Amino acid sequence: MLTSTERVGRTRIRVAADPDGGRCQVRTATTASDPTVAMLRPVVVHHDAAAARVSLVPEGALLLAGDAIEIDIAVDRGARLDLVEPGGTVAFDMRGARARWDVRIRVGAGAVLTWAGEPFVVAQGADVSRRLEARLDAGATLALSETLVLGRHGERAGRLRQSTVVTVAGLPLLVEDLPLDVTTVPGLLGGNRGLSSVLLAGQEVAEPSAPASHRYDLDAGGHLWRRMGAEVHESTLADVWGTVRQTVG
Amino acid sequence: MHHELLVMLLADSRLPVAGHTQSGTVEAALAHGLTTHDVPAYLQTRLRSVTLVEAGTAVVARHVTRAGGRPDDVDRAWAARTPSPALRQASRGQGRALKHLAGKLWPEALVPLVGLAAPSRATVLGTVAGHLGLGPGSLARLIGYDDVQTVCSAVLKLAPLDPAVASGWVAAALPEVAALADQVADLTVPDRIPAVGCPQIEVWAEAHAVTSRRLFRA
Repeated sequence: MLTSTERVGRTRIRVAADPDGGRCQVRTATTASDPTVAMLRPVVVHHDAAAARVSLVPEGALLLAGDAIEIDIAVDRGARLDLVEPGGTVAFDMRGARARWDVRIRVGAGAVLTWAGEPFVVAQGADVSRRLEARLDAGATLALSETLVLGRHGERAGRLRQSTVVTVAGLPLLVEDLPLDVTTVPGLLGGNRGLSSVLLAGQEVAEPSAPASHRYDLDAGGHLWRRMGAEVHESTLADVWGTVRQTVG
Repeated sequence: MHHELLVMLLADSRLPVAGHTQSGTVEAALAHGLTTHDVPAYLQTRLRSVTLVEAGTAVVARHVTRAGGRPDDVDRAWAARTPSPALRQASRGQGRALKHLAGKLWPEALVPLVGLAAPSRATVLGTVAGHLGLGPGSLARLIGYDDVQTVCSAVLKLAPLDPAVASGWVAAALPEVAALADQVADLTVPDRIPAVGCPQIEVWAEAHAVTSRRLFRA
């Protein structure tokens, strides 16, 4: 599909601590390449001196052929943002066309971003590029939960190219590409449909409370928990996410 | 020294670099349901994921050290692409064995590695290959070929099988090894090292690291 036929829906959120100790500043903006574009609308659900809580509410049908979702998140020094989603996302059959979902994150020193992602389902016939680029300053914390599902119940896997780059103070912490489709899922995921992960970057969970199973201690610090399952409920990491949320505070 | 002969030397399983302790995670895979019938597909999965990362790392380490640089960023890029501690540990163990041997045969080859506490096998092999004047394509083919042979010879020790069948798997995987080399031979910077992960191999590698019932270390 040509880039010029993309419908771009861009969401920007920036959170900064108030220098006078008042409520933190939350700035949001959305940009659409045309009026019919589907996008994620940031809805501030809570907002005080310590943190902002923002829900990413889908507007319009997501995710269809030609959709280009761009999400830019900045959490400035000392601030905190908790992102939630009201429900999961389904990437539908795109009949030969494609869509993309690009997330850019910047977290400053002493700042915290948590993102409790809901399931991202790649239906049979969907073709999605999903990129995450997160840059953390030294002393920043990122906690990210996500669940990928390759195909709805009874379907074959759609195509998903999942690309992740997380850096801390300019150095790579986690760099991964997962080219997932019907031909690679047997080898890369052991034929499983569900892949859940929880990433904690910039902090470490204290032993012994850290759930040990499914946990990968990253070489440059932090942890990745990852679990696969034939069905989504078999790959859940809800208990891990609870522990991580407690650790982050 | 003739480059082709050096490649043969480095690819030889009789080289004392603890190659016999490695199964390319196929021991764990067989213990968790992989059958010998699945081995060719397993080889392909490796060559397109973890082994691709390893070959890319070695090629960039070769390039950087030949240019007079240090491979610290290269090794860091590899570590960020290897989330499984078990896989990192296995590679670093092999890196240590190769460093030990190279320190006796070609001590000057190790100069760029001074200061790296536990470099990956790919970083060490790339650095040594650069010192010996091997080209990036030869280096990448060496890594791909070695991976295929490691898996296939391990399967022979783990499952009853006609050795000719295992050799047939190796021969059949050669075009895929060549394709891997073509993909990484021109790489020069750490950021461009392929990052294809394999969650299933990581799960198996971690399970294998904590079991006592095993023939191979990794």
